Amino acid sequence: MNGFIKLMAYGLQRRIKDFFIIIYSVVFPLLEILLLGYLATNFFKGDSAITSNHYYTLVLLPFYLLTSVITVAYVAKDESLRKTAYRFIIAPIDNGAIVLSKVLSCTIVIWLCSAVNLLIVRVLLGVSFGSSTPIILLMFFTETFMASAIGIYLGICIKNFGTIKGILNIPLTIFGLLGGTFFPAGSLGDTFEKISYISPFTWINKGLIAAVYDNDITILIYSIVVTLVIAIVFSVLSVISFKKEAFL
Amino acid sequence: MECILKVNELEKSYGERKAVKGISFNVKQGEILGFLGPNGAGKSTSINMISTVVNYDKGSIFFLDKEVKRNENYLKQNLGVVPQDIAVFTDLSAYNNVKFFCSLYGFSGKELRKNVEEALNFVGLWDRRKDLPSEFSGGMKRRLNIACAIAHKPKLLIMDEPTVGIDPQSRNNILETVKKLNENGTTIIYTSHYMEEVENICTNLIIMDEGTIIEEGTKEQLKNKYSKDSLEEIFLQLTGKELRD
Repeated sequence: MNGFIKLMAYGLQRRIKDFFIIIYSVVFPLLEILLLGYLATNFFKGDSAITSNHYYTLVLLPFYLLTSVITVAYVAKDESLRKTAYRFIIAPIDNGAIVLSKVLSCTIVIWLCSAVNLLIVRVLLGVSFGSSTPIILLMFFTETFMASAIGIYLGICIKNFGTIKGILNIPLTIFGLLGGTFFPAGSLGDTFEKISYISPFTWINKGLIAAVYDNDITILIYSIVVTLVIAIVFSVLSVISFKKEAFL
Repeated sequence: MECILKVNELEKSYGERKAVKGISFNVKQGEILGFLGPNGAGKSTSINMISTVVNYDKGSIFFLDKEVKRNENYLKQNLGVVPQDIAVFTDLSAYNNVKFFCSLYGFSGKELRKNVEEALNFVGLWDRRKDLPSEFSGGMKRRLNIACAIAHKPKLLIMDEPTVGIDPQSRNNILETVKKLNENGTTIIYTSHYMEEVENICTNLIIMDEGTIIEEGTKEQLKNKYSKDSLEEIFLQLTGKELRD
């Protein structure tokens, strides 16, 4: 793929300096973990293994990783907003290189942000997941890859950024609620718990908690495979859907 | 003179509207071709089709005898475009802008650095290479826009109204740069609404209106044919005086 390495290096540099990515991927999740962790301290008091800080670190980070779809959709339009898209289109580089460099640079930077978050909560709150940390990071990576691929796909297909935000905000919040991102879903009864299985967060969160506290990685492996497959499908769809005229 | 670009029966429609209606023309190696037309004449669409930004519906384009559709990257490697908008990253220095865009053409290491230095020297911005474009005047931004387009040493350069909105000194500097580029062997397709510019630098002219070529030839040929002293008079006679929006 002509130009992939150059665009990838360029994409990483830009994403690392991207104010929105840093705010949405590091600052907001940390503030929410601190806030909800503090507010729910008493709720988790009976269990010595899992504290509110542990719980909200495990459920809020995946939530913020998936909501980065919106930030990534903006990245898809980066060059067109800066009028530099023209130079990309006329250069001897493949459309696949343009699209995939965006997907992968977003994936790497946002995933690194989640790793930084894990490090910060460990230092700041003493939240450690021990030997489960590598598989948690693997889950975060495939989820970020999926979010980035979907985000770039939407950014390519939908011209208006406001429309993308409007389309995504509501289902992401509902999925978050169902998946126990803001409070444990099991506390709302059986019916709610059954409905909650439509949310990807339910699977990811259950998988993470089972892996960390029951040493059972079955659900997590399924979640990793499914998110990876979706990520690949949307990456391919993004390359196919990329129209140079629409990129301008 | 050998043809660098051959355009045959090129057509493009946007929905029901035919923007370009089967235009054909040749660009000879080493010439500066003035590409003129009022707003909405089909100039930009034609230029976008030549530079592979827009796909055409019918016709063909040959660059150095190779069909562009089958050898798109061959054209791209040898083509530079100075777009009408300033297409640079505002948060990268002038040097890094030119370096990045030149690197997209496969240059790296010493060769890349040499090309960037030459391009910035060529447009007179080497001393300001560390500055951000936001610190530049309008004319300097336009010159940086040119440097980004010429660093990879294209054989064919398309300049789409490169002097819009700048002072006479900057404009004169850019026109001198265009002449210098041409003297160094670059073939140039130049679009502008400033007739005196076109008269000053172009060797051949194409005038488009309503998606077709309505006139072409050298400046002298057109002036003799229409018995007019200036290109502006010929242009207005051919395209009318009605406002085009």
